[in-house]
Amino acid sequence: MQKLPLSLARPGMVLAKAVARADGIAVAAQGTELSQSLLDRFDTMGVDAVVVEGNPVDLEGSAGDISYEKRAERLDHLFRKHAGDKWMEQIKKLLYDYFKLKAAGMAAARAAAEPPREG
Amino acid sequence: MAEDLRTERKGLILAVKDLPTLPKVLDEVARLVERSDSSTDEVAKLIAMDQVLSAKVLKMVNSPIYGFPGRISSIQHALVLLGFNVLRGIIVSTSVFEIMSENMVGLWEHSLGVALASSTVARAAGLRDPEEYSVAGLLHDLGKVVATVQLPELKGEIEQAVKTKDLLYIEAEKEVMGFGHDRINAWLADHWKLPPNIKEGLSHHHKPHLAQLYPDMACAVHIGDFMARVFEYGFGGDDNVTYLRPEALKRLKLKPVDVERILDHLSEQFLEIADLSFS
Amino acid sequence: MSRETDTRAAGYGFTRPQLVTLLTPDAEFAALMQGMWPESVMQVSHFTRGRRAIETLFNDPPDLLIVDGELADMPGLDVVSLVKSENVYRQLPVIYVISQEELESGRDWLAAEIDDFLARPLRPAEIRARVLLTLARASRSFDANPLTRLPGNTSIIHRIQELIDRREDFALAYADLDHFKSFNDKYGFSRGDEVLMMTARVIVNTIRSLPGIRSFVGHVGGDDFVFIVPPEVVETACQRLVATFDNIVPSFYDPEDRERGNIQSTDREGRLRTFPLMAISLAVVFNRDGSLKHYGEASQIAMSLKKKAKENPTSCYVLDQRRGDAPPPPSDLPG
Repeated sequence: MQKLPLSLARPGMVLAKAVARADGIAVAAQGTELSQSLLDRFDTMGVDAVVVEGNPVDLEGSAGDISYEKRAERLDHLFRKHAGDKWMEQIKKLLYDYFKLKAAGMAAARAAAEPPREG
Repeated sequence: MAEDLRTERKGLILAVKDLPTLPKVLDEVARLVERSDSSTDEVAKLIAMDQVLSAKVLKMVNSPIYGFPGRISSIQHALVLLGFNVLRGIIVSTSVFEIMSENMVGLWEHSLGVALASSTVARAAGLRDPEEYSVAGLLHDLGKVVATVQLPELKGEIEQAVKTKDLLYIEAEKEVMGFGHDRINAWLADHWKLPPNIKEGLSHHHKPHLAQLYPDMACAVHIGDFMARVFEYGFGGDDNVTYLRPEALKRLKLKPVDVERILDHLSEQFLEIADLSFS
Repeated sequence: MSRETDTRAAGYGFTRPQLVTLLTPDAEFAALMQGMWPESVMQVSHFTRGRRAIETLFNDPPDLLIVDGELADMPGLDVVSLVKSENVYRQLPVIYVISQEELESGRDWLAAEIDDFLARPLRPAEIRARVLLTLARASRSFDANPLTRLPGNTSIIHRIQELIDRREDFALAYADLDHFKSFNDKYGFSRGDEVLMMTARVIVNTIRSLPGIRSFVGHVGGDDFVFIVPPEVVETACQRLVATFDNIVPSFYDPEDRERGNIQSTDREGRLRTFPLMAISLAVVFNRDGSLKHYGEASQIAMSLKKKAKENPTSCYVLDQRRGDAPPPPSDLPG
């Protein structure tokens, strides 16, 4: 799933999480398909982001996407003070493998969701 | 009544009188809660009289950090579902939020991240009342804010030490002040009369293996802090992971598969809480 | 399960026969174990080889595993490690059987991950005591409901029986949710779990709001909860519970259902079925001057009261008004 600024949400996308008012009360349920009128209503209500199913928009590198690839790359830097410590190396490896696996999964999901090329 | 806290440098003190003021209603409510004959309704009414505060509290309690996202429509419901300790923690943190954001960019986001991670860890470990663990996570860096506000010259020195010597923020604090924010946390917890389990989460999240009374709390916040740093959610003063004490994982009986479950949940949820700021 | 079976297992504090897996090449030991208790109390499965035992263990976990050090195909401790390394079976209690020499030479108990041991030569009285103690200890620690972390059935029964034996006056309330199934069917299990968490919190915090009383809250399982409070406060507790629950539960529905006040779904025949919003039903049983002798009595009375409570589709509570042995008069439906 993906968190999108409202401006990037489109009719047909499906809510992966409920949308809430400013005070937190849910006003559109998880699983609702977005329509233009619903998006307009969200706009007037001041909702500025929605979480939708799948990965319809390529947000690589911006705030709405947890970039697993980036997480994996950053580990050496984050763990730099613990280099040589066996236990921390173990933890780092666990995290590295986890993020790499997730990154691969996301890439595969994106590829699968691509619309078939024309012609 | 707590005394002022002396640093080990140049006789600089952290003064009780200069601490951020908490909403008046908190004191009144705490007194009401201590009386055994008060009802949830009375307590809720009192809090609800401060409308600005109530709005902020409701927004926070409806976040995924607190187990009932999008379901809490009143302070009274919040009290019944989460209890007073959690509400008090949220009220304290929303009061300090502005100061936090002005003085240490990224610290509020980091605190939210640790709140979420601590309660996720607590749930994975099968602990009761996971929301209390969120509160400890939310408040775990309060000491950093208080120090930077009251002693701005030391703040500059600490940040320099972090940058030039590549230290962890807490290492730099100890070098400059003689003690870390965990010590300041303990002092704050006493002054603001926070419950003892939360206090231990605040004072022992860097040394959970030394926690005597509430080791589960200290361990959960310790692991939560580590997780928020792995995801670089917000900024806690330095870009390092803290040393993850194996005792903490052992104490909570967390195995690699549990850790992965926690990571799954956090990956999802960090997206969710990205807009919990009050601007 | 016959009544006789229930009573015999219950005489040991169990609610059903305990399943024991015995892993040992020692045929005499096996015969001893199998003859020690009637089948209604303890059912012993005997294996001589680790591998076979492991297969069965993972598919059908017992209540207790007894492992002999030396097996034909692998060291007993390897079986223990295998079992304890699986998250799901971490809680399975294990008794390890060792020789006198091993006992004397000492071992790394922390690494071993066993819960108790028996040292040869094996004595029947000691086997008996160790097995019962290990089972009792296991039921105490791991009874908590995985979702709400409230004490589960065994702890609840123990507590009720304890109060009865001490002839302490108390009110015992059984709570469950009406129309929970239709909510779960429409919204799925994870939202159903949210409702159960909410119910647990509402019960716990409502009881906590009653000043200075001794109380107990348990989660039997699913949408069944239990609480114990002094008789003088139980009606207040029920009134507050009903009001709070009714106040909070609409927030757990989607906006359209919340506004309509019901769930609509079409069944397999295409008929539109309407289900009301969930409600809480409470049945309260009293122990006054030692009126109850056994926890079983309490639950029987509660079941008949519960039927009355459920006749009312909204949240309500029913208090047992009986004195002595007469059945509850039909007109008693307060709240």
